[in-house]
Amino acid sequence: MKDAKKILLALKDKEAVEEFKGILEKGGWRALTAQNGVKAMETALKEDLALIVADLDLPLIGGERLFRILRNNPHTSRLPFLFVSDPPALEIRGFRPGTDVYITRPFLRDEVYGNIKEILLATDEPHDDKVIQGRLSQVPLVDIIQMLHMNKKEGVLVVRSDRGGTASVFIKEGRIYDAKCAGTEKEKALFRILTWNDGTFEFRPVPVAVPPRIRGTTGQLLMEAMRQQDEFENSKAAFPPETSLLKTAVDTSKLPDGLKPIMYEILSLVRYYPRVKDIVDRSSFTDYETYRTISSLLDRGILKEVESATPDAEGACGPISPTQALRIKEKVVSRWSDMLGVDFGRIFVAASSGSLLDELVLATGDIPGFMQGSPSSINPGTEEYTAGGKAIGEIGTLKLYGGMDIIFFAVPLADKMAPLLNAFSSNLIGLMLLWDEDDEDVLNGLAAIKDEVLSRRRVPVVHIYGGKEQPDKTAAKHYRDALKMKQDETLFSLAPKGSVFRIFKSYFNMLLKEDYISSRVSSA
Amino acid sequence: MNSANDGTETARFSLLQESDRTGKGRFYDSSFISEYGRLEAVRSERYGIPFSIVVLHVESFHGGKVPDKKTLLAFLKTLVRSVHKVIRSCDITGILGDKSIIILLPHTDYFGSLITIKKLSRALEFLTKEEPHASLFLSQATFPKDASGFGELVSTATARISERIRSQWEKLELRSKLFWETVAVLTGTNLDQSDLSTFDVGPDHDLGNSFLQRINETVLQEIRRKPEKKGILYIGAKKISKDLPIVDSLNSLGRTSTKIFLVGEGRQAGCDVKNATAIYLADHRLLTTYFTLFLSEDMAYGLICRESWGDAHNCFHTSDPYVVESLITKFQRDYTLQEQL
Repeated sequence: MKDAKKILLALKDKEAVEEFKGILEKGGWRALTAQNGVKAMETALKEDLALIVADLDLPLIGGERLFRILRNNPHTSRLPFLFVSDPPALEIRGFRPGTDVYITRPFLRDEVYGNIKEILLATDEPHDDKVIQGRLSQVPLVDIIQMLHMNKKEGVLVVRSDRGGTASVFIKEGRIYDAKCAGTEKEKALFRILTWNDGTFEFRPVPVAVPPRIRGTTGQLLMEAMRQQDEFENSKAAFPPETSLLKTAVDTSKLPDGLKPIMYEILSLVRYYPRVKDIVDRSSFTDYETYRTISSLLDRGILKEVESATPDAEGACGPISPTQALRIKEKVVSRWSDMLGVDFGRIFVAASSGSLLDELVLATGDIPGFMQGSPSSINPGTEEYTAGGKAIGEIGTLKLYGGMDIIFFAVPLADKMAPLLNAFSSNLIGLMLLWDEDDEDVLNGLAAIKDEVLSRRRVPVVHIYGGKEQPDKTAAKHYRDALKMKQDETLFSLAPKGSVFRIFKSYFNMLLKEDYISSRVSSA
Repeated sequence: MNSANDGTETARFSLLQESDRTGKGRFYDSSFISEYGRLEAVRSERYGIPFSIVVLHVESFHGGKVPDKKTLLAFLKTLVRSVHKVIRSCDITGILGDKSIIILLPHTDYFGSLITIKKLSRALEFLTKEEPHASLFLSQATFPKDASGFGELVSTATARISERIRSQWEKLELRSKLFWETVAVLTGTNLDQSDLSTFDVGPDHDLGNSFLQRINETVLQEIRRKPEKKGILYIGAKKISKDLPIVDSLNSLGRTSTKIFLVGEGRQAGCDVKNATAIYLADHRLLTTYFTLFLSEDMAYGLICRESWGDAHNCFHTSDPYVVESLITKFQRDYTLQEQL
């Protein structure tokens, strides 16, 4: 058998094992099997494996746990993993891009074969275990990269700045394949890292399996980075300050065709991120190119400076700071992929009565940026507004810094409304349940809405009791049980006045947690 | 991933060789499709241009019997040739699995892919009627709306095929029924699913009749929020008159990329409706039915309510884009309206 490399198939499903065996036979590799996490761990420690193909939901010890255990064992810490799961793909802590691979079902046989081959090829290369490390103040980064280039090294150069921030440069055969730094990548990240002159570096000679995403030779890249750095220093005075707020001064749809891609990108970014720093951070082009283009658009009158944001503006007077607002926007945008199409998030509000909705809207009116209703929202006093929580439609909008609207959308408390909830759930980022009566039907209805929404998307749920006074312990326990609230979920109350501020603050904090709005809605 | 030990594999490869000789279009293997799809997704992301795929799935071929290779190959060849007649020269066709082929549609948005599906359904209809008989299922997925990469895009489209095969629409055999037959089945069946259910509105029910008006207002609100998004909306308002609240809402809607049609019974009554096309049809069934059929790049919602007893209505509603699109298509066909999306 070719190389007779051993690959462990830690897959719970026998059919999947057979399918993978077919692929391994094609490559001439030897397959070992384990149908649960315990057996997989035993095999991994006993055998000299080249790769583990693991189901994420393995019995006894799950795939992710197995991965973490083996990574912490010095004998198996380098063992690459190929994770298999049903969509949607989940985030795995400690996942090593370039070493580990994650695929979701269904997949193509050739694709899997290619992945395995790539992983094994990367581990075929002999590697020097010794780590090179030091301080940037002693050895500049450019010198280190040149040295690695001359010696045709392979591995990851990890750089830590004293001002905070960690970055990685992926090097193979002395060539720079990719770089990552605080949400940026490729040339942009590399050029940014090369401006760091205080901090530490560490070169880890590990196999690099990332595809080459940076073009050009190492020499060309370093020259270009230095040139851009010099140009930036020379032109810095002409560039707008990073706190400046920008907006478009012309109708962008009337701009001539054939502008440079960077111009289109910046004009799109300005719509959502008015602050220069945010635009520079989010642009896919290098910092210098972005600053230069912003400056050029300002000179041509396509963009205009609105005002400079003072440091005070950072400290918000609303329930969240501008930085949090941008993080929310970023999270929502990344969740729905289509950046131009996302400028709002929707929160479903299910209430036991129209008057409760009214109370919520009135109380929320104290929050800066909140606007009651919309041009076609429900009019208070109409039948559907007051008749037992059967309202549907927008009841208010909270405008966040950065151009994101949070829409409060009333949904009717009635049976068989699942298709309606599903249809209007585009950009759904939360659910609010409001009640003020101890009615079983109402609580069951709210619980049904909660189940339905959570079955499609993991969003924060806010439970608000709208009675005149806070519920006593017995009532609170009853509500928690009826609405299947978790231990860490808070039962809020609209009383006393001003509570709504705390409710929103808590909601936004929940939303910013990693595991919310992480899965895709199946339809539309 | 498919294990192909039943002869399909042989037919697949024979088909691949055959496709080299057809000249008019090529039929590619899964490696090429995977690589091309990945590149197309990268290109699409870089230039902000949508890109779609259509998956064509063949189910219960030859009554579930194992066909001989010759029959299967002939069928697949006919299938591919028919597909090539419909698609554009820039589109790429290839094998996806034992029972599926895939069509990559560069520079094509959600509605573009739906139109391709419509054309394919029509062009392939004869295959579902002739012997050897086969059921064909088509689904689509669009980048970046439905996925963040090519693999996920394929998963989405294949998952939609599975949903479609298991759907109530298929179980109730609605595919071949006329619009009003379909409406009768849907509003007369007790359905309670997350994307398809029936309920009642009226004075003695959870929801009053004002719910029907509110739904239309809310749909218009969605259109107003994203006026640049393409969509199609049919509102069945029983009888069109200038006193209808929806007419006011439509008049104030402004320009959008959604094609809106207001449907009512009777002859043209001189009622001026802005931002929508009024359709007057001489069919008394419209007098007892409200409907809202909305399909956009972001959402799908279909609501049909038929008068039952007194002022009450039996309603059916769905969020399944396939059902909404099928209802729109049936409506257009049955009244010989221009077929459009």
